[in-house]
Amino acid sequence: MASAVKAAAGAIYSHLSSNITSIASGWSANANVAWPGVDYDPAAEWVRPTIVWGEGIPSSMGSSGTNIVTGVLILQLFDRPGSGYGTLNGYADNARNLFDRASPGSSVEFLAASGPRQVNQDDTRWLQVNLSIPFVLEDAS
Amino acid sequence: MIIKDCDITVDSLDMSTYLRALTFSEEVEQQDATRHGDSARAFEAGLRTGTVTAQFRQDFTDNTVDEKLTDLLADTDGFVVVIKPTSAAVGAGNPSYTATMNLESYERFDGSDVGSEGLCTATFVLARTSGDNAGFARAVS
Repeated sequence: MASAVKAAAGAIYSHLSSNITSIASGWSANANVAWPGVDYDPAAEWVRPTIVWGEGIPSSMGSSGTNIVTGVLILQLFDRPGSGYGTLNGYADNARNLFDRASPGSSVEFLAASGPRQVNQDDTRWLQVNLSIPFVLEDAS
Repeated sequence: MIIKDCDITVDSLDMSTYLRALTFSEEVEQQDATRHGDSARAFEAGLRTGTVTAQFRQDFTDNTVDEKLTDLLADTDGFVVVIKPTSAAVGAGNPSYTATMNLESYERFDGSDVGSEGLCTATFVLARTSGDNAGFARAVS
């Protein structure tokens, strides 16, 4: 069985990259996204996507049967402090709309998003809210 | 043994890669044959029954789960079901069980919740054949 995890991650990141302006109209995938494993100099507003892979379970018989792999996409949204959370919460709403029940391809199906949750409120440099969007990957041969 | 490679062929269609769970049982009716004067209740073996209940991952594409099972709902003269513990060749450690069966029930959606896998359940029973349907034939070669 060929593992589809790499392709799934690519589809998720591609979904974010190609629709980044639906979160904030002035954003770009290069300037406003802190991609995993890539050096990034933060803009005034930005997002960090992280995929957390969960459990895989066999879903049908046979060496070429289907596995179900669960995961969560974490989106951490950042803004400069001083103007409240309104802007960030608006971006979070847009991000929810982008990923809620979305089918970005490569057998990935998003479920319902949770958040935004305000975090790191003692940080004087950034306001931050997090979204978590669970998904399932049907990993078939 | 750990069940992860059970093999089922229904009317010449290998459905193993869709198979999620299998219940395969054979019973022999026991008729009360106790006589006056006996000190224990005794039974005489009667007719055999065989039942297979299979849960599949639902698939509506051509020549897969739903099309095959829908066709079999209209089948009135039985079809062959073959079950093996694993997909390996038939042998002493991997016998095959073959019977002519009818499709007794087909639940297209097996109570699947929103966001969960689409599953279906089919129940097969021994079919009336032109001769005596003696139930499952066990073969090791």
